[in-house]
Amino acid sequence: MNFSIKLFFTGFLLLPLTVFTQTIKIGDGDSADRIFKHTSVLAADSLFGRGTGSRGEKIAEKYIIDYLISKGIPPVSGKSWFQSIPLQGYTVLDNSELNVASISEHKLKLNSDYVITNSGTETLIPSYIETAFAGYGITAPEYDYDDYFEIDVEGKMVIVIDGEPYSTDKSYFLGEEASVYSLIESKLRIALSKGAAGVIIIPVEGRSGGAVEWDKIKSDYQFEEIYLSSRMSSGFGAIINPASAKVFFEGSGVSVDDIYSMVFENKVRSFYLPAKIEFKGKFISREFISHNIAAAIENLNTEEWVILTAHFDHLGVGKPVKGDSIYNGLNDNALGVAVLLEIAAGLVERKSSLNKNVLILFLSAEEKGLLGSKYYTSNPIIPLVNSSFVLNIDGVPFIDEPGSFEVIDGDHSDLRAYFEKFAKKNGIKLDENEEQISHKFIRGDHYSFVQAGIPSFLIQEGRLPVNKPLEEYTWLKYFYTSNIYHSPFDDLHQFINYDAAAGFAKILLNFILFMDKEVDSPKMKRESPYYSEYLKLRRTN
Amino acid sequence: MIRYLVISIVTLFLMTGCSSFTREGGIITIRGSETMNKSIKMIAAGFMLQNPGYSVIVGGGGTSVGMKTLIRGEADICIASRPIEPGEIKELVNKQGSLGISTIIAKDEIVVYVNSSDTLDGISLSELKQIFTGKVVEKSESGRKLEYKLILRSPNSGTYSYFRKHILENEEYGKNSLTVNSPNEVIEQIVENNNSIGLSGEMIYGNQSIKPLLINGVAPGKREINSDYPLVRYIHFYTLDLPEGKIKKFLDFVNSEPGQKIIEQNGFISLWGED
Repeated sequence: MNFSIKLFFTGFLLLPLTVFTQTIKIGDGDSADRIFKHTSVLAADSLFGRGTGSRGEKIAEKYIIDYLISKGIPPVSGKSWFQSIPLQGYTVLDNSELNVASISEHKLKLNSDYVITNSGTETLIPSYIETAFAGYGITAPEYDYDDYFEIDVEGKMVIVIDGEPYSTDKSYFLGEEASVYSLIESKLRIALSKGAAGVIIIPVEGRSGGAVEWDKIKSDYQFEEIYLSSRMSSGFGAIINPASAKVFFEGSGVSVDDIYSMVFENKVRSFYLPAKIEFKGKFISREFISHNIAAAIENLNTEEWVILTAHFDHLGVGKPVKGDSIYNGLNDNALGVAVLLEIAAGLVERKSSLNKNVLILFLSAEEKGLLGSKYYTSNPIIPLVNSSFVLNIDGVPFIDEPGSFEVIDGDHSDLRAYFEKFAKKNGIKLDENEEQISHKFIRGDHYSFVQAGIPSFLIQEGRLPVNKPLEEYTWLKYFYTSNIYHSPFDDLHQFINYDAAAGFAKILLNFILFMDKEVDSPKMKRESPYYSEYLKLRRTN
Repeated sequence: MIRYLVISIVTLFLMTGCSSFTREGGIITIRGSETMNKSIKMIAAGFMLQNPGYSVIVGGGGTSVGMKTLIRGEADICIASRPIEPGEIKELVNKQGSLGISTIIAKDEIVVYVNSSDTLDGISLSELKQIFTGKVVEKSESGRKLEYKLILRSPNSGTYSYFRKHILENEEYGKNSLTVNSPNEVIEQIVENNNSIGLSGEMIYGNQSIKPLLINGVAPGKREINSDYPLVRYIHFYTLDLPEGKIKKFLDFVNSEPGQKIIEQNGFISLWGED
């Protein structure tokens, strides 16, 4: 890093925090003003972070509907504003017991020693069961890889390492990009399919063996677990603090450091452990209804629908950080909701010239695992086969006017090609990234629609700014991701460039109008793993 | 000859004519929990009345039997009064390529009944565990030694499995026991045996010969969704896939107002009230 950049970063670190402690509205323009107003309401402390099923979320629902009504945008003909989603919530209590018996007996403490990734009565292990270490916990026949080849884990608790086998070869576990096998849910499902009682994951920090940020992991799992009323069979799931993981390996002749060495030397193997484990979880459970909100700009001459989505929930109230316990979710995703409201207002003004119907969908419970979008695709308000494509709004430019854009998950269909055509026509620059079916953003609501066989994607700001120096822009984005995202600091005290957000809304609106004129609808690609779902939709209708 | 020809032609016409009437319908097979058997049969009757093209066949046998039929592909839905076990998940994967989908449809209270002549009004959870694992519990306030004949459901029953795992923490039931198949038979035995104790997945009203015990000082029967009663469990539908088609139609009916009303009328706790 050269001297001028070091100086810049140092200056930035010493910069008084006033930049990040004022409510600043930059720029003029009606659109920027409206977006500012929406976010000022939605991200206010009075909504307590819009947690799923909370009173704050209900206030947000009312605000959204009132605005839609004021713009003359009704619900879908013959339907309610609300799509009711039955949900189940679990909060794990501190007096839950996770006990490990190895050479001695260990009573592990919730949060300091472990966090629960999977809650509910299915997680009960009332008496000691055996354990086994199962490498990464992966069975992947397409890569000729099976951590379970030499061990039988039926009735046992499986201890696994985070991540997946590392390779620079893109044809092996997607190379350096993480595949689905890295996901906790994948490891749990594979373990359950082998008859295991559950999975405990030892986290790993990258390939360099750096210290695991246990505080960050604790923070991620501090909130209520929420599930749809229908969900896949489940079992016990937890992440263990690496400092506490040694209890499982007592008497095995293998240490946690040995496990990490296996990972870094690509010599991971599976073996039985002498330790036994029991878990008696104490939970508060609740059943409740949350809502997706659906509005429509209808054209009676066609059955084809474009769907625009933005999730309006966030994390709600959690453990305080520097005295602040409200996770306001301004960028995630009050700003996205504001942009969608702005786009909706722009579309309804042009209603008479639209060729397609538009469904404007505000989704709940995204932060709990895309539950609102998953529920929608199982209970569509509009037949899925009539859904031309989905544009999700989650991640709005807020630092500077973007000089380039990135297409996320546009390669499952020809949506990328459509956006490229639009971009070229309008002088919009796209980041150069290789076309590939990836799992880059499977945490976005559009992915539920991709999985249902509907062309869907997300547009985000790219690498290049317009006004700020590149280094500063890059550093501010990094700062947001590391320090503000999913923290109480994603609030109205941030610096937000509302002109940038308004410009983004305009680009998306123009793209929707561009697509409205296209005769052919986007199609899923054969290469997409969800192409069969796309075909199934068309076969059964 | 001509008469038979006419009859054949008419029959053929009728068959062709009938097949041109397409009507939504199908057969739904449900097996499992005896606790829920009566309620599901009533719901099925209501569903079939509203949807004449469908037949819903409801069988009991207990949760374990229901799981086995789901694993063998012989049932569309297993009604379960306990969560699926890891060994069952493995079998489901091996035989049907599915981890199974659980849909919760209600809660129920496991009520502990004794004969109405029993002077005992309530016990703690830990005392309950001791009694059902065959130990003698001495009540300090009265000096009475609590020792009962256990009236148990069969091991195939979800109530048996759930109670053993969640309350007995996998310890064995006591040996002084009698095993019966149905919830009604549990009640019959308690009526006939003064010194017996048993479990039921429903609150029974109007039977003066039995009485429910308070557990940890909390009485069953309020059926509140956030009750303090400690013996509350979920009732699940298990299916191979996310409910769709005929199964979703039936499930939507279960979760509808008429379906939930039947669930409540049979002593279970309806789940989805609005906030």
